[in-house]
Amino acid sequence: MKERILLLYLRAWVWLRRTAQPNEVQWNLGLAALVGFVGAVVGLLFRQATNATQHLLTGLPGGGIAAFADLPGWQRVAVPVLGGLLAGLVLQLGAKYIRQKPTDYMEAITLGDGRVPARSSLYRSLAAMFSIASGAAIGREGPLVQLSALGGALVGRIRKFPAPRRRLLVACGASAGIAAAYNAPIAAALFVSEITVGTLAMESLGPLLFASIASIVAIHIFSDASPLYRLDHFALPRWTDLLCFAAVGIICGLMAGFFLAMLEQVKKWFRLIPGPLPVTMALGGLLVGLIALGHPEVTGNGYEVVRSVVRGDGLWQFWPIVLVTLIAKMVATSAAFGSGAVGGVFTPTLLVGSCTGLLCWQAAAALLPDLRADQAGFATIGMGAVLAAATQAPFMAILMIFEMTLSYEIMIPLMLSSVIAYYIFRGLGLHSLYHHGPADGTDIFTRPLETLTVADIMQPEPRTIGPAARFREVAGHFLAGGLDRQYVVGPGRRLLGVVRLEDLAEHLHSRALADAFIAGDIAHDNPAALDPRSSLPEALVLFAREHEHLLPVARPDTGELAGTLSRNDLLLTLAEAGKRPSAQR
Amino acid sequence: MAVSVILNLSAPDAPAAIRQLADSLAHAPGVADCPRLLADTLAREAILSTYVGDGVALPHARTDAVTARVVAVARSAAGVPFGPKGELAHLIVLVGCPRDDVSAYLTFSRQLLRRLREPLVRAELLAAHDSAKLLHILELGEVPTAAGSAAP
Repeated sequence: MKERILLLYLRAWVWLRRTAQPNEVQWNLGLAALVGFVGAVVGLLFRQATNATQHLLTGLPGGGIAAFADLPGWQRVAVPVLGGLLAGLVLQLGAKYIRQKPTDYMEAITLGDGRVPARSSLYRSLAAMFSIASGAAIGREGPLVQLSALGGALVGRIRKFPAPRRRLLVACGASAGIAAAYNAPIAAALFVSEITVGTLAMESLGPLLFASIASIVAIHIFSDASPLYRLDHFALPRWTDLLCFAAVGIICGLMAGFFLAMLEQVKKWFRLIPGPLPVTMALGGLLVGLIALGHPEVTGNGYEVVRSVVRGDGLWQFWPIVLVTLIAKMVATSAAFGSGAVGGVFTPTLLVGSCTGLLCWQAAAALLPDLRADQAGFATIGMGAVLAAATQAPFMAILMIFEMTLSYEIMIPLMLSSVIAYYIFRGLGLHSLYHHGPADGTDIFTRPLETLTVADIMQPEPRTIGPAARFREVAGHFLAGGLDRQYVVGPGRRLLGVVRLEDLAEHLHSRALADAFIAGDIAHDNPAALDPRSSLPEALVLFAREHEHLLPVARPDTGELAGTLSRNDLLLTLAEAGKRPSAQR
Repeated sequence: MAVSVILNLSAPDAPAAIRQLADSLAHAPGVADCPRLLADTLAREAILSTYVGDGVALPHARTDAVTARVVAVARSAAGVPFGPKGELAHLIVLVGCPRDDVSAYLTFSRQLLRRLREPLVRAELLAAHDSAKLLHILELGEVPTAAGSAAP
């Protein structure tokens, strides 16, 4: 009886393997979903930890501005100072004792070759937690993204993936982190595609979307996945209104330029201050605290303010309030960011955009009495336009605002303003929010494509078998879920042949063949192999000629098997060609 | 498919048996290079014995020496020491297959082995009076195409 059940189970398993035969793309999608889900959960835990720390620091439950507004004056100053001090200490001790090249702010999104240093990511996230919990005017998407990207990197490391796939998983982690932070799965995938990977090729976009979806699923299960800034009433604008929105685009493009220039300038000023990092960061905290004395709404990332603006609260009808909030927030964010706090400026950018949009609305309403669009619409469109300009990723920005507001009517004016703002900013010749300087050429994704060889992106140490390995062993490995190719090697790892799963598929569980056949009986001899020194275009030619999705890499002189290269990894690498510097330049 | 039969094989050891089986296919259609077929089958046998138990052996080779699948069946009442521990094989089937068709090679060999594993089939094979009957039991077709030493 027991044997029968075992046999049934084995048959079912073989059937599943044979029919499903998960190929590399399907594996990538599955792992992307895993990374996405875990990334979102880690993000939620980070949020909980931040709220708990804030409770500890302020003595008041509940996070955000409410906590700060309820604090007595001296505490509004003391808490950011203390937080800056703690964050600075963590950063300094971390840099001293953990000798890993630290990842700079949001640099998790520069994916490198898919290796994210674990310990330095953790201590920087801890520092970010202190900064955010103490009211630093900075976004939390930085550490959220970094932590979930770390998750992706760990999966890649455990499974010993080659660089292109490790990088893809880190990108998936980043996508999941953004999706979780803003409940915006499509924009999150596009964020990573447009800003980091620089392509919308399905090889990478598919897994990114999967990671986003899984991340949103996790948010659904453990938290609240409703849109952040739901916008209910927005009348479809008349064509005359569109002229207004074109103007909004111009103003927002300039505003984005001003804001980013200010962030950079304040950062430079802070660098001039002598003294250790904790002191500088405490000073940054002091600045935020002093502004918070009069305007507690400048603390944090600005989420509540944006929400109130988009809700159309009456308070925002007075332009002096809007203007003061805008300036106070820009100064506070610059202080936090400039002093070295770890975090993102994504939500602060949204706040700058919404206030700019509001100011535009007040001007437009004064000039045009029959304006149809309301303040909430202008604020939302301003948000999108500044985001499109500052990130230089207009497609992502448009979708991000759409997913945040779930208002379709807003799309036409939003697209108009965003695209105009994007070009205005570009005309200013400034670096975007996620600019990382010229490619340093240290990893294979920043080197010119022409200098890359097959050896750079192959998977080393593939599984090999001897020609005398029994059929039982070969079939067992296929059944265990390995690759669908096994390489037969002789002495000195010389490549002799390749065993293909499709040849064996129907026979995997055959007891009759198990001991009567050996790998040498069923391997195709002299398989086409790539030279490790071949260029990537040469590799592509061989893939096209052989109709194979996985090719062995063997040294032409000795025939030694050096690794394997999958067509998908090759395409992933080539898809990013647009972002690379050229060797000629 | 070319098939030959040796009803009463006697050989001192596995290589000798394989040699007789290969020779029986010498003029069979599909065999381009009989010495090569022999050499490849012997080389394969040297790596791992093809004795599969129950007095059955399946020497085989995927080789360029044949252009189509060929089979030679031998029966030995006395048995030929074939297994790694000198186990006696009473039914020996040599299969030669062209290099390119791995899947068909496996399918065919597996069907053959499946029949040979059944005690009843083996008993019938050992009792069969002529080669036609023997091939019928093995489901290898009615009439042997190659004469060779396949005298009943």
